[in-house]
Amino acid sequence: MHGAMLEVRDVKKSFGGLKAVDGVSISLPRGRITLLIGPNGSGKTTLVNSITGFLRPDSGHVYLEDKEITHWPMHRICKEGMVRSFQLPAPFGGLSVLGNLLVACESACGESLLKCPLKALWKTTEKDNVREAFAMAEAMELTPYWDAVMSETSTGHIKLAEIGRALLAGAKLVILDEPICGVDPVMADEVFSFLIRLRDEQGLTFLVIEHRLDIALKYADYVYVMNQGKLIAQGSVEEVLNDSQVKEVYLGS
Amino acid sequence: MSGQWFLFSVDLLALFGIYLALNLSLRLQLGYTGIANFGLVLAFTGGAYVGGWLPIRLGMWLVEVDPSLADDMIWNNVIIASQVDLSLHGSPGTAMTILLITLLAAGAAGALLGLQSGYPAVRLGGDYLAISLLAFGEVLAIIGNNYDPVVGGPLGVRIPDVWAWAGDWRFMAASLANCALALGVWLYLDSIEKSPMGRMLRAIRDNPDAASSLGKNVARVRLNVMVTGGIICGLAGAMYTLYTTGVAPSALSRFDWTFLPWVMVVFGGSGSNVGVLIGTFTFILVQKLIISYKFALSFLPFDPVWLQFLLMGLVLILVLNFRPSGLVTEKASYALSRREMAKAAGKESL
Amino acid sequence: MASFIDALTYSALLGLMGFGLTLIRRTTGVWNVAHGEVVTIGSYVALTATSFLAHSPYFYLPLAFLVCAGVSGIIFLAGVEPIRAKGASSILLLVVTIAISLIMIAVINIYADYLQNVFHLSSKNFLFARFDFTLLGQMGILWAAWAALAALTISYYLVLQHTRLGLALRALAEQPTLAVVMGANVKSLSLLSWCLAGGAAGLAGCLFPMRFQCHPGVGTSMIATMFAVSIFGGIEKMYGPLLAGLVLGFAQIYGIDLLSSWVGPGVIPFKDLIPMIVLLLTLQFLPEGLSGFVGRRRG
Ligand SMILES: Nc1ncnc2c1ncn2[C@@H]1O[C@H](COP(=O)(O)OP(=O)(O)OP(=O)(O)O)[C@@H](O)[C@H]1O
Ligand SMILES: [Mg+2]
Repeated sequence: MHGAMLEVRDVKKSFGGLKAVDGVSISLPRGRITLLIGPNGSGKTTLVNSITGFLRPDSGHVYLEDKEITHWPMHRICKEGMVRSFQLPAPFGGLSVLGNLLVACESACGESLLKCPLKALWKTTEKDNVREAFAMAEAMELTPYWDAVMSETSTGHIKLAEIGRALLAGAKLVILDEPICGVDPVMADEVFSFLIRLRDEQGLTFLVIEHRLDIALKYADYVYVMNQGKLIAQGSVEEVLNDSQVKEVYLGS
Repeated sequence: MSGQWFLFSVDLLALFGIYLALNLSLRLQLGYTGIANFGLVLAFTGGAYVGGWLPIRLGMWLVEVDPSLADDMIWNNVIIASQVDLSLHGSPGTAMTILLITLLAAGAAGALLGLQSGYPAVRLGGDYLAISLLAFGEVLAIIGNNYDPVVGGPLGVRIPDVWAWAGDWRFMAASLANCALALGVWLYLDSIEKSPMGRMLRAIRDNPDAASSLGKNVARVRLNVMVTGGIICGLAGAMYTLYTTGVAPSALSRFDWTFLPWVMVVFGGSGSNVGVLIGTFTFILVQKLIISYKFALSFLPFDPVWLQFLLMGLVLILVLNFRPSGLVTEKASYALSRREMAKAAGKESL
Repeated sequence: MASFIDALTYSALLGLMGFGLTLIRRTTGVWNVAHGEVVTIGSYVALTATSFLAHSPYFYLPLAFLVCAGVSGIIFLAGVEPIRAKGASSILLLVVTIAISLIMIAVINIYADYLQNVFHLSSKNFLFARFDFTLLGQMGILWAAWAALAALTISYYLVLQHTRLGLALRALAEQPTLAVVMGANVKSLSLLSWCLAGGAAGLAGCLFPMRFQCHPGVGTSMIATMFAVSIFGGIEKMYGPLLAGLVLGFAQIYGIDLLSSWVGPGVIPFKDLIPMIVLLLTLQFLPEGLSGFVGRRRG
C-alpha cells in the first residue's frame, strides 16, 4: 500500500501480562477521515500512544509517508507532520485559551533563550500566529473565552481548545482521541464539519477515536474496529455496521 | 546618616543584588519551567570558586608581584593578594579587566555545572529530579572543603579587591555592581515574559507530555534553562566573592544558597519578578536586622541567629498553607500587546 | 579489621536512617527532608538522659524511639497532612518538609546552646564511646545497631504478611485508591508509618554517639547520604535500606580505607562523595534501586 499517509504494521504493546495492543496493522489513506472505534479498554488509546511516540511499542513498525518513525520521540514525530490530542484533558493550566492555541504555533526565534529578547526577530511570525490562533478560536467557538485561564475553564471548552491546538500544530496527519467527549451535540457536529472542511480544503488526514458513534459515523470515510487489543473489522461505515463480530461486541448478542 | 547605618544599607544592597539574581534564576527554572532545582548552591559555588581561584592569578600576571611567591599560592595567599591590591588601587582598568575575565569564566563554569547536573536530571520527573539536584549540590562543597588547591580548603582564601580603586566608595561600587547584575537578569526574565518563550516554558511546566506532542523538545528546553540558570548562579557566585574579597567553602552552605533562595521565592511567588523581589528584600532585611541586633538579644541563653531559621520555617509553612502560589501570583501574559494582537486579528479591540 | 567493624556498624546506622525515609515515601509519597533532624533529636535524647539521669545510653533507646516517633508524627499531622489534603504536588510537599527542617534546626540548636550555656554540658560535640560494653570482643554498638535494624525490618515483614494492618499498609503503598475502598483509615495508617519512621530514626540517633562524634547538625549533614541509602536501596521493598546501608557503609568506610592503601591517603576526605555518586548513578541507571533489581531478577 504505497503512498498511504500512515502505515502501521503489526504493532504490539503489553502492560505486564495484559496485551493491550496485540498485533494491529492499519493504513490511513491521504485526505480521509478514518474512525477508530471499539469498546472501553479495547486498546485504541494504547495504539495511538504507541504510534505517536508516547509509549514505546514492544514490536512492530510505523511509517509516516513511507518514512519509518518507530520509536521516535513525540516532538520529532510532530515536526515530521503527525500530531495527536489526548483522551484525558491535558491543558496548559496556567495559560489562557489563546495562550494554549499559540503554544502549538511554531516560533523558532521567539522560542530560543538567546533570541527571544529581540522582539524584531519574532514579531512578524507572532502576528501571523496570533491571527491563526484567533481564527481557530473562532472556529471552535471559543472567541468569547479567549482570555480565560485554562485551569478555570469548563471541560467542554478545554476539549475544544485542545482540538484547536492540535490543528494549529501544522501537521498533515491529525489524530484525535475522543475529541467531542464532553462537548454538546450541536458543537460536536460543528467540530466534525470543520474537520471535513480542513480535509477538503487543505487535504489533511484524520484518525479519530470516538465513542459517540451517532455523531462520528456520519463523517467517517473509513472505519477500524478494535476489541481486546485486536482489529476485528474494517471498511466503510455500512460494511462495519453489518459485520457480525462488530454487532456482537457492541450489542453483546 | 551615621556611618554605621550607611554600612548597613550598603551591605544590605550588596546581598540583595546577589540574592535577587540567584532567586530570579530559580524563578526561571521553577516558576517558568517547573524544574525544582534544589541544587542552586552548585553553580553558585562554582562561580565563587572561580572568583577565588582566577583573580589572584590574573592579578599576579597583570601587575608586578614577586614571582617566587607563586611557588605556594595558598600559603602566600594573603601576601600576594595584598601586593596585587596595592597596584589595583591606582589602576581601575586592570581591575575591571580582571573582573570581566572572572565573570566570563564564572559564567562558563556555571553553564558547565548546569549542563552537568541537568543532563541526567531533566529526564527524571518531579521529586526525583529535586533529590538528584540536591545531591549534586553537595558535590562541590565536599571537593572544596577537602581539596586545598582549589580555594584553600574549608577556611578559604583571600582574593585581590577589584573595587579597590573606588577608595571610600568601594563598598558602594561593589553593591551597585551586584544590583546591576540583578537588574540585567530581571530585564532578561522580563523579556522572556513578553515573548513566545514565556508561554512555551509554562506549557512545558504545566503539561510536558502535551507540550512534547506539539513538537516541543522538552528535555532540550529544560536543559537549556538549567544551563542559563547555571550561568546566572555562576555570575552571582563570582560577584559575591569579589564583593567579600574572599571565599570559604565551608561558608557556601546548602542552607544559605539553596534553601534560603527557595524560601524567598516561594514566599514572594515564583510566578512574578515583583514577587521574587519582595521575597528577597523581606528576608535579606530580616537576616541583616537579626545579625545587627544580635547584641541586643544577648540575654537569651542561645545564639539569636537561630531565630532566623525559626522565622523562615514558620513563614514558609504559613505561606504554603494559606497562599501556596506566594504573595504575588502569576498573571497570564502575551508576547504582543493587546493593541498589536487586535490589529493582527483584524479586530477593533479585544 | 577495625575499619571493617566500623563499616559494619555504620552500615546498620545508615540502614536505620534510610528505613524511615523509604517507609514515608512508600506510604505517603513524601521525601522527608526533616528526617535528618529527627535523627539528631534521637542523639539529643540520649545526651540529655545520660547527662541528667545517669545510666548507659542503651537504657534510653525506647525513650528515643518514642520521642522521635512522636516528633515525626507531629510533623506529619501538623505540617504535611494539612497541605497534602489540599492536593499539593510532591515538590510542594518537599518544600514543606524543608520548612519543617529549618524550624527543627533552630529548635535543636537553641536547645544545644541552652544545655551548654546553662548546664555547661558539652552539647555541641559529644561521643559516648566510653559508655559502651563489649560482647564477643566487639563493641556493643555493633550488636545493638544490627539488632535494631534487623528487628525493625523483620517485624515489618511479619506484620505485613500476617496481619490485617499489614495488608492495609501494603494497599496504601501500592494502591492508595484500593486502600480507601477497603475502608482503611488512610490518615491513621499514614500517621503510623511516620511514627514508625521517626522511631527508627530515633534509634539511629540514640546509637550514633556511641561510636561517632555528634553535634547539632549531625542529621542535617547526613540527609543527602540518607536519600542515597533510600533511593539506592529502592523504595519498593523495605529491606532496600538494609542492603543499601551495607553497600554504602562499606564503600564509605572500608572501601575508602582499601582505596587509600592503593592510591594514598589523599582520597580519604572524599568518602562523602561516594553516596552522591551512587545516588546519581542509581537515578540514572537503576531507578528501581537495589531491591527492585534483586526482585526483578528473581522474577
Ligand atoms: N499505562 C498503562 N498501564 C497499565 N495498563 C494500561 C495502561 N494504559 C492502558 N492500560 C490498559 O490497557 C487496556 C487498553 O487500554 P486503552 O486505554 O488503550 O483502551 P481504550 O480502547 O482507549 O479504552 P477507552 O475507550 O476507555 O479509552 C486497558 O485494559 C487498560 O487498563
Ligand atoms: Mg482510550
